[in-house]
This record gives sequence, C-alpha cells and structure tokens, in this order.
Amino acid sequence: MTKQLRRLRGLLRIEGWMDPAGAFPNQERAYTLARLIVRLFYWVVLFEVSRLLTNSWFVWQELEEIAPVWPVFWVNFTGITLGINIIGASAYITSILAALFTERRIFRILLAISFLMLIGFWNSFGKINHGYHTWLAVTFFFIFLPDGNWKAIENSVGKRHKFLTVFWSAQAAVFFFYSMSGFLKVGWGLVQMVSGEIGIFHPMGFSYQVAQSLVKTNETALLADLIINNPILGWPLYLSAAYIETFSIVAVFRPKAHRTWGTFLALFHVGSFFVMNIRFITNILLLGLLFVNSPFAPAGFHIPTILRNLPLIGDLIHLYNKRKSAEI
Amino acid sequence: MKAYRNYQKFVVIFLALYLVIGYGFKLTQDREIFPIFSWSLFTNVPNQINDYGIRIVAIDGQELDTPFYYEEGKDTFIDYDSAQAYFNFRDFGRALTAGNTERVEEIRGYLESLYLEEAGQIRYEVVARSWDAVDRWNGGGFLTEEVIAVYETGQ
Repeated sequence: MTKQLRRLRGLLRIEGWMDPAGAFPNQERAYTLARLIVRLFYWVVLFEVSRLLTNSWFVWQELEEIAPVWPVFWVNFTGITLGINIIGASAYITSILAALFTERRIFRILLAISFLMLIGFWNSFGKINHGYHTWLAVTFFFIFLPDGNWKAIENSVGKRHKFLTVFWSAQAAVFFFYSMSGFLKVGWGLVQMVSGEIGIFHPMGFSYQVAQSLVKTNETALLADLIINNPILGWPLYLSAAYIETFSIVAVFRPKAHRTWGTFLALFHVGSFFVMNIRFITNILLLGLLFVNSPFAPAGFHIPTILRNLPLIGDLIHLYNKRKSAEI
Repeated sequence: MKAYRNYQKFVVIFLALYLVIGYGFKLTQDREIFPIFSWSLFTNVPNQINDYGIRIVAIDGQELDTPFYYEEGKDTFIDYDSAQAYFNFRDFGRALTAGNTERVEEIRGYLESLYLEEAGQIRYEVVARSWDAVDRWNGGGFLTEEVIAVYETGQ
C-alpha cells in the first residue's frame, strides 16, 4: 500500500516543480509555523465554543424537546437542562485546557470529545448544519500530534516530519471534503445535462440555484437579483466554484498552491454570502489558519509559480510547455 | 518509522471510508450520520421545485382572512427565514406523504415546540407545493398547492 500511496502522491503533485528537498522545502521553518498554527487553532476553538455557548446556552436550557444525534443520545436520560449544562461545562473546561496545554494529548482528546458533543447538541433540532464539520475533523486529526514537549523534538528531523505529516493530514481532510462536494456537483451536473435539464453546465443553472435557495426561506442577498436576472454573470462563478471545490484534493498535494487555494475557497464563501446569504463563515477562519498561512507554502508571492501549481490549469500549462520544448 | 507508515495508511482508509459512508447514506437513504456528511451542497439544480410548506390558518382560535406560509410570517415567527425550519417542514411533509405515522409524530413533537408555539395556539395546514424558482423570485406564484394534512399545535 505504501508504494501505491507514493504513486498517488507523485501523480497529484507536479514532479520537477517541487523544491529538491521534496514536499517540505524548509522543514524547520514549517515545523515552527505548524506548531504556532496548532496553538492558534485551539484558541480559536475556545473562541468558537464561547461564541456558541454565550449565544445559546440559556436558550437551550429552556427547550422541551429535541431530536438528539448519537453523540448526545444520553440527553434523553438526563433531561435537556442537565444535559446542556454537562455539555456546556465540559466544552468550556476542555477547550480552555487544550488552549493552555496544547502539547498534552489527553486534553486534545477530551476537547475533541466534548466539542463533538457540543456540535452534536447544536445539530439536534432536526436538520443538521455543517459549519463545524471540518473543525471536528481537524480536532480529530490533531489528536495524533505528538504528546509532550514539542520544543524537545525541535532538533529531530524524523519527529518534526511526523508532526508535519499529522498537520498535513488535517489539511488533506478539509480539502477532501471540498472535493467531495465538487465531485457531486460535476457528476450530477453531467446527469442533468444528459437529461436535458437545467444544471450546473447550463447558463441558467446558477440563476435557478440562487433563486430556489432564497425563495425557500423568503430571504434576499445583496447581489441576488443581479445574478438571478443576469445568468451570464453568475454562470462563470458557478463553474469556477465547482472547479475550485473539485480540485481541492489535488491542491493539498501542492504546497505552492495552498495559499491560493485557501484564498479561493475563502472568497467562494464570501461570495456565497453576498449572492445566496449562506453563512459558512467558520470555514473562512479555518481556511485562513490552515491554508492561507500554510507552513508548507513557500515564502514570497510569485505569480508564474502560483499559476503553474494550480490544479488542471497548471497541468495544462505544464503539458503545453513540455510539448513546445519537445518541438524545439 | 512503522508507526508513521501506519498513520499514512490510516488517513487514506479513514478518508475513503468517510467518502463511502457519506455518499452511501446520501444516495441510498438521502440522509446523513452526524458527523459524516456527503457534502452534497447545492448539487441538484431544481428545474421545478416540489416541496412542503406550513400554512398558518388560525392563531389562538382566530381564523385568518389571509392564511400565510411560515416563511412569510416575519411579524409572527422569529425563525421565519430559517433554513433549518424549511428542511424540518420538508421532512414532515415527506413523512406524511409516505404514511410514516411514527416519523410524523416524532417530527411534529419538536417542530411545533421549536417553531410554532411561540406565536400561540396555531392551526396549520401542511401543503404540498410545486413552483419555478426564477418565476417566484420575480413575483410569480405556485404552480400547484395541495393540502395534505391539518393540525393544531398541542393537539
């Protein structure tokens, strides 16, 4: 399996465009940055836990009936008020401990469990929201970061490498989820196209998507009318969103694309708000932490390098250059 | 080194399983098992929407001259524009259409307490509707409306 994994990695990143040292061009710098980002992540989790609880704790205490998802099924036995008090208190305590003592694995485990319960409770009202699913995945993967003094492993190349591998796996999970969304959009879009329906590959596709989303809940958004009634403006945006989502899993293998892709996805969420009033703002924060500040991205801003590393577009440029140099 | 290699394999297997479970539940049962999700967000472009709405016909025993849908009740309901409410109504309508009495009672239990009871004693219709999204955005009405059930909160 290891061989297959290597082959997959080789296929997804563009060989020859990487720095000679491989995926971690400056491992020491990457390690220092990754450590800082992990610590920041847990502080932000504490912030998010506080934000959720200060907004809802007292309201939730008053509820008479909920539809608990499995991590909080036990609320059926304790009653809602006691249940939310246990969930709220444990989320607060563990997120403070994880933020203060990030290096201790036990606190990261406890935080992952209590955060799962808190988000589970938040989703125990019928429909499930997805604003914190990526966060849950990251708290899960970060459990596998080394236990103990991270300063002590600073001088070990092997241990630094393990740390960075775990960090990268959390990044991979986040981009993988975006790709899952993109695969479905493209796949179903093809089905609709073959069936002669209006879909993502039809110029009216985005107009219909925006209109249905807003009309259902009687909402509006700043740019909604412009997009719905001028399909030619919205269609390229819709196709771009599908492209960005679909190829996220390729981008995670290309450190030089991390910043660009993280920014693209964050802008996609900003755009979704202005056009469809969809607030996926928690993911913007996560993308900023993990990708726009990716420890694997090289320092500096060089547009040709960015373009060459873009999935699909970069590959086409690469192929074109290869063919051109073969002709010479 | 072995632990490191095993971790790499674990990540690949984890993500592959996540995909299989996420897509599997979406495609076979149109549902999700928290916290696993298919990430099917705005996948389908509905050319004509067939959904369910909650139409309010009486409040505290007073018949309304103009019954209105929940999402139109800006002055009556706090969550009038909630997507969560919309999807709960949809699930309610689906359960009614399927004749799944157990599910109907389960959803009704939290649906009324979460969204309706704040405004008093509500009599409401569950309406199966069809509509064109762009047409409705530009002021058009429903193509079809059919009342499939009538309830009163708390009864």
